[in-house]
Amino acid sequence: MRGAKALFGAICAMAPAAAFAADMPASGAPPAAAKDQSKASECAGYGAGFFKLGDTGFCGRVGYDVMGFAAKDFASHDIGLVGQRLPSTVYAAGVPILYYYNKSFEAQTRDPYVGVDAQVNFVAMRQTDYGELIGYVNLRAAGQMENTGDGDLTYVSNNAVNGSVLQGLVDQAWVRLGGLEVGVQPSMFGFARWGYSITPGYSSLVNTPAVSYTYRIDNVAGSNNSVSASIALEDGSRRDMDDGVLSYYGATYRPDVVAQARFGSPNMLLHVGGALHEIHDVAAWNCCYSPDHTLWGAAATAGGEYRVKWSDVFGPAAGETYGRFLLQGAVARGAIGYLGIPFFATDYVADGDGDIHETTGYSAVASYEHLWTPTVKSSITYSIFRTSEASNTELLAPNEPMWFDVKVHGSLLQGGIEDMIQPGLTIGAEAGYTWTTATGNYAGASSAPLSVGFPNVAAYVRKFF
Amino acid sequence: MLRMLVLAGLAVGVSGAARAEPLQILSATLTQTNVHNYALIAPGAVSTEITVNQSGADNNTVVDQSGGINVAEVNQRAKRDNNSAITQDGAINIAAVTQQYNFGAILGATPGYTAQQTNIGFLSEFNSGGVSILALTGPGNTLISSFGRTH
Repeated sequence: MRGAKALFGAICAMAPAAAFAADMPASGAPPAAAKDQSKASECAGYGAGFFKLGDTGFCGRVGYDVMGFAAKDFASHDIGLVGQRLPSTVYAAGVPILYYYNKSFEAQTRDPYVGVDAQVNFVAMRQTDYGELIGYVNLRAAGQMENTGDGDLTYVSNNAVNGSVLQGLVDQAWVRLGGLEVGVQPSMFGFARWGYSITPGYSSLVNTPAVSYTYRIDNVAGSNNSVSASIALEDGSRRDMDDGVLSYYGATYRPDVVAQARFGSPNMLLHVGGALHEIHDVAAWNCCYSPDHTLWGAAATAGGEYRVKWSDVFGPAAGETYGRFLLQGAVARGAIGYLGIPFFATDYVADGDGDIHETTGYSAVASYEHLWTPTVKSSITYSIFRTSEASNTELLAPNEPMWFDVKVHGSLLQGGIEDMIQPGLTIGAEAGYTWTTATGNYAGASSAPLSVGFPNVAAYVRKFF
Repeated sequence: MLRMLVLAGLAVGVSGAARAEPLQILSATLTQTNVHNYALIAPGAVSTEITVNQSGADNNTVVDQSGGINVAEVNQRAKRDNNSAITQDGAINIAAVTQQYNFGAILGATPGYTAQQTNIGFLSEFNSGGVSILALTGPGNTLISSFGRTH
């Protein structure tokens, strides 16, 4: 989580592979996947590209999605954060402090860069007496060239999981029977998208090892509407936001508990979700044998997507144009990893006596996509976030109190256009602008706000099946 | 032969122990001129001579020295408050604190964060608005992290 790239390389493709998985019932999207298996061809009902897997009764499909891109990041400076445990004559673990400053990235962003995001997936499914049995694997390698700051060019992975490229390679791998799903799968917390832009808005879409169950009702009261409710036990380590000094996750013994409910109609999807995230801090223990503490962080989200055919609103003058809106927000306390924002705050701060002070924050995304023609579309996305990271009042020495409260907020505006020049082959371009501001308070004295802003541009070509 | 070697080793050891090592006291002078000044000095188990000069509305200094020889000198000029806490644990401990009040001049400081490794330890200083936090920490108690958005 902490190592995720923030710019174009961050999970570039909302690939058909991912979208395919996201539209499946157990991921919570009420619009049903094709289930009509009783046609002339056993597998045609599942969709294009499905074929029969021998005499197993399974239908399978192989897909791929490869994107190459070139991008330029114009950030000469950005907000850097430094955590430190100041020496204290009262607490062996010291007093936590967080600084912010204007950090130079001129060396890293001097040149444009290129990257690739390649995915290959396989799905197999069949009907059973207990419901539909589906197996799905999506392997993914995403990375980009990057200036190290020393003038060297190096390749970095954009989808490594806690530093492990191998774990990141297995993007998804799950088995589903009826509503029960086991394996590496999309978290039940995330909405269907982070906005319609290729680069991510401030929203959390994470694949994680999990066990989930979804109960779903289609055609509610004879309508075309459907509802679903899901609960999942997920690997919380992919959400941990710690720096090793202010906060340091020890072994956790409980998975994150994530719940979700959705309502879907032919042109609308509503989503609410919540998560409990265990914090087991050992920062103060590791350094100085202060007590380690455990508590639960929490996060909640709500979102909606609405699709419209503009001729239904404005009449024939609107032609055959379509649009869709997305609005999604999340709040978190001690579970900042659920906000889908850059690493501007740790989940919590461990005080000198081991007590935990949870960080709070929120994020939100508003996005619109317009389909000008069947092959040309454009999108605009605006995201915001805010974090508040603070410590309790600590003593550097008797009668020498110290505490901090650092707040970071920011926004991101993205606009893009994409053209499908032939089936399965698209080209596109996107531009964005990022604003971020940090403010602080130290033992009651306000520090000065620090603001940065920078644009970024990218162009890409994508081939998928 | 073995016995001779052991004796030779002892002779060298005694010789080494008897020879007086030059006394090394690491020194540093640190100055803060912002509105609210905090200085945290904890160099660890080395002999140090530290001078802290603070001039601001509020000055706070905490010194924790545990070397063989510990010398601390704190000079504070404040518009409102001066606070100093000095802890020394060594063979020779010397501390002097001078506190003066009603000083109107506050020079301010260049905003930003600087950090460097000195011969005493890790020296960092944060200045933003009216806040200045300076820390000098030895190798055993320097805990630093760095994070933010990647580029």
